Amino acid sequence: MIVAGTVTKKMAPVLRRLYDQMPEPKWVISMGACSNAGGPFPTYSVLQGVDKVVPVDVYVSGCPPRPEALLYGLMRLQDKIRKENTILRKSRVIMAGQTEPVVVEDRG
Amino acid sequence: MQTLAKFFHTVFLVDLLKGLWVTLKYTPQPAFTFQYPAERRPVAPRFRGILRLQVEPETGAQTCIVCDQCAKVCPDDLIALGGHREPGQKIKVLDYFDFNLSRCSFCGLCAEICPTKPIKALIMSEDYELGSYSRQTQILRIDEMYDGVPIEQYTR
Repeated sequence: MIVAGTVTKKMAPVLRRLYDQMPEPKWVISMGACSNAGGPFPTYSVLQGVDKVVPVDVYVSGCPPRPEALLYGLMRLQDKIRKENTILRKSRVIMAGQTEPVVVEDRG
Repeated sequence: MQTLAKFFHTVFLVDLLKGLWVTLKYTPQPAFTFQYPAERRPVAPRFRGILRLQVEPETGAQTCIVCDQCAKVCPDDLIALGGHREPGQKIKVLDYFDFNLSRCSFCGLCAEICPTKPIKALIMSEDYELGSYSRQTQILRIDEMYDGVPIEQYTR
């Protein structure tokens, strides 16, 4: 999944559901300053980084990134996939009642 | 009469030939496509890539005078820098320069306001290949600001 653009807090549950509905194996690229860290919107309504909702594999910087930069991000993701284990995947999960994600070894 | 015209239109494949003519017109021209990792499109002269600190080309001395103007002008407060003054010297020495890449919208105000002459201490370079695996590596320290961000190797 490539998250390209601002994610508001109202849109965040929709993004999470979309991620949950994707079949494994799945990876997330966060594209641009807005989805990386909220961009120029440090406000109450904008999600400060899409990694608060879904586990992000590659962050591509730029506002917006050049087309080549997105391809570069895809190549970085290929590097990551090459070194990844097939069965065991670490994933960042937000536990119930928590706000920050924690790294979990096995996806239950 | 109209039926006859439509019949000949269909028999002689006029619509198909019209479409093929457009294709033929563009065939002799070279392709616009760039095969990205193999060949790179040259960036525009005023392209704004990642922020970079410059040194004097001959001596390698630091050009930043720690005036803090880039940190003040940044609309998202992404730059934090500081320095100290050696005893008996007028010029300040740059100690740290932290640049938070994650929020940066590459507006170029910091490089525009940099007052050092003739070599600007802070420039927008032509480097646009930016990708990282975590939020921590998006905060660039001073040693990564001089000669580009090294390609991050993924480790499990």
